[in-house]
Amino acid sequence: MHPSKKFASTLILICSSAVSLSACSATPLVKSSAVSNARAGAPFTQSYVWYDGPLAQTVWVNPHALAEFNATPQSAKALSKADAQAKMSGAEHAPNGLRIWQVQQPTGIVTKALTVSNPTGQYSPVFHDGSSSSAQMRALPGNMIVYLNPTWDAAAVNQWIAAHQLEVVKKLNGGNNIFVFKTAPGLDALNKANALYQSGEVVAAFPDWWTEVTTR
Amino acid sequence: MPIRITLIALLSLALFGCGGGGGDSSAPVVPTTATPTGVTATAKDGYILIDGNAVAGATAYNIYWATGTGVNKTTGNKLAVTSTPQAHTGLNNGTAYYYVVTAVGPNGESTISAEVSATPLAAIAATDPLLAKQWHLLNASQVSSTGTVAKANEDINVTPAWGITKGAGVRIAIVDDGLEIAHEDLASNLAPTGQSHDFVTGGSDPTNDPADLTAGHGTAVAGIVAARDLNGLGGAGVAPRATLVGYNFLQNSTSANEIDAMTLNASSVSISSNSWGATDDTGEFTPSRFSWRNAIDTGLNTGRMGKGTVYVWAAGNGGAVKDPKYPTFLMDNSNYDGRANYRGVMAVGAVNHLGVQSSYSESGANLWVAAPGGESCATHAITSVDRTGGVGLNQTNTLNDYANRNYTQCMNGTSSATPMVSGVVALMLAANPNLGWRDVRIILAQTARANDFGTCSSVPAAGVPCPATNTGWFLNGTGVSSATTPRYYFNHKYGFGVVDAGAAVTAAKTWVNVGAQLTDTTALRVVPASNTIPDYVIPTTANPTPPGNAGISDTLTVTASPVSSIEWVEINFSATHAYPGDLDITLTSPSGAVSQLTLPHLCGGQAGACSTNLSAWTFGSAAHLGEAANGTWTMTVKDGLVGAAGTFNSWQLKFYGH
Repeated sequence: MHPSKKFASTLILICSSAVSLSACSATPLVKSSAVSNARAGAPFTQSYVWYDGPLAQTVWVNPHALAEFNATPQSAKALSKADAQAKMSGAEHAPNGLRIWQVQQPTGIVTKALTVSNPTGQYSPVFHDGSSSSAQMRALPGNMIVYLNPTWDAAAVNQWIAAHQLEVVKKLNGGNNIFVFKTAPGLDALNKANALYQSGEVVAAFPDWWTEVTTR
Repeated sequence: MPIRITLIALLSLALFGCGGGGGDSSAPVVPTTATPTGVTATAKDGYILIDGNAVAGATAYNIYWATGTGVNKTTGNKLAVTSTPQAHTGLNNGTAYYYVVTAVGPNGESTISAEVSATPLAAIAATDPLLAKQWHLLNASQVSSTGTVAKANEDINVTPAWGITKGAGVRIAIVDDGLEIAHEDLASNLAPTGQSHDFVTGGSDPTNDPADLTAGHGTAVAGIVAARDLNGLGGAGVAPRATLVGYNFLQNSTSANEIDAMTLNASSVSISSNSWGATDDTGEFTPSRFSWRNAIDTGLNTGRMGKGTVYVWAAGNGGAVKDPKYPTFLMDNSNYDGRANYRGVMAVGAVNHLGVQSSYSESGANLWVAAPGGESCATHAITSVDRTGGVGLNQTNTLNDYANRNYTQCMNGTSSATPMVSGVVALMLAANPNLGWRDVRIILAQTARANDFGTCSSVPAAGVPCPATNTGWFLNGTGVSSATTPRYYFNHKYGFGVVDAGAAVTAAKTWVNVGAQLTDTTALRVVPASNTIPDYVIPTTANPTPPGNAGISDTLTVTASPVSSIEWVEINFSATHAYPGDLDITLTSPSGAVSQLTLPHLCGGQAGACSTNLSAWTFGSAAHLGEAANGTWTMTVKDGLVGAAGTFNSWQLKFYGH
């Protein structure tokens, strides 16, 4: 539910065709300088690839945002110490303690400081599915999801897991031999998942992404 | 005969309203008694009131009734009366009664009126005190707290369905931000302890954290589906005896939890109700992911002991104009949402208390049906349960809401429309547990009520929308392929129309399952050279119709397809465009029916850029339901905004059907 949207005006479409909404665009869409300027907004530049099943996908790093998982009052203090200008973006996102921080300094520098001041903190870069902040936001709370060959029996699965020295967090319901394996938060999850997928040994491997979704 | 009953009834009224003009003017005029118009049936406790407009010269009226539809002078039981309103007493509460009326005068008995129906109910309003406020269940022109009057009959017509079932034995998963399982009006419909899931702690209580004062969305959604009836509390859900489980996935929205939320207890969960998605009002194309699609496919194939979990999905709330400076730029279309446009879910749009598209509801070729979502507390929203006490949606400072803060009249959005459809599906599955997930979809499409005819009283004739105010309805290719196969009207604002619970449950009872699903995928069609999409040119007096504004088209021809009746079309599309928000993309079927896939819009809200170049996007379309795959399909890509150019690279169609 989005009460704030309910007061927006409704576009009345004027149509002339029985079968096409294309005829319903009320007036031609004309570019304005405001739109041009909007298009010229600075895009993110640093990107990573991950594998959404067989498809390589690019995500861009928001250079001035940091995700914190399982946040505590102590971790907030540590973050303020690492970047005095850090501000929490909106309210705390979820009861699992996720916070999105807007930071002034580059996130790499802030994260490095935090590893000293708050070594138990769980931090991740903030990524977007596109090069602008309007694209879906995601972060890495830790762990990766791996789809093993669905025809493998338990013995084969266990042998593979042991060979790769992976720690099973849980087995998932969505099919045969889908596992969550433990990784550290942040880029560790991305790098390990990519390495597994690129090895060709698994059907799919990707980080256990946190993604931003909302009620409607 | 799968033409929607409501349409037939409306057509009948329209014809009688025309006064019987035409015919051979030289023939002798035989006086007849006029047919009664404006006939209504109003449900009461144990009886029904029948009323209608007086017929000039009539000396009596005959009321013919039955407990099944299709009443006429031969099949109906006759009540002879001299005036209306007339009470038909001694009826069974919960049973649907159907009526037609004739007038009797000096020139004999008239032809029968349009059929009406009602279901007498026990004094529910007395035992469910907010039921009378729930216009979405029975719209009797309720007046909101701000004085806004709803339009009678713009509801989901659930009372006839309640005469058949209230959903007992069907389990629905509410995937949302929480569900207060101990709520006074929900607790008796919750599955036994241990069936719900808390994605924060791993436990089985998805009740919101007490410290979170504002969350309450999932609890309200649950109330729309299955608030308990006849308990003296609140209102009623659409399926008030169905069973609920809650999954608070939105509190910890990781990929692993998303897989679990779609597949947990799949053997026992019949319906997955999802009033969530990617952020609205961004204008962005947000794809679904491998893990989610894999989970949905698992539910379709293995859920409900192989008959398939029914996934119901909110179409999205980004359908309004975002920036008044650009009044033609609708922000989002549901087809930009890779979850809502997936073939495994039914995307649900919202209508308001007047029966027209809610101001926020997203349009899309992927929409299956619509249901009431209301507008806002300032006009008419939806009455449901709320978290107990002054937290959740109904807090002490909330505009116009109930004094009893365990309930709210301010729920809205496609979030509200979605659980209404979930509730209707629960009623259908209770009436016929053997329905497969595809059967459910087709029944809903065939029984949905076409709404929003503008100033026309109905669709005036098969496939010919009201010329004065075309609100977007069209008859797809099923209207010309064969007179004996199902025919489907479609509207990008409503899909196949507003769900009609009574008609859907009645159809479900005797439904014969469709055959195995067939698929047919075309070869990838690489658009030949000269695939540049011309940039939009502003028309001038000297150049009133710049040729490039017509865009470019490409065709592919399907032959010998096994799919003779399409259930879904998946469109894999590739362009390279610096600002894909410019694009106006349509798919035209061999019959000429058009799926509008995108419209020019702003990406990135008011100050962003499109985050994709649309190089690999999958659209979905419901609009070709029932059409054959064979024939020539046309993809047209136009630019609607000056300033960026691109190329149309390739496309491919995958047909699902039988």
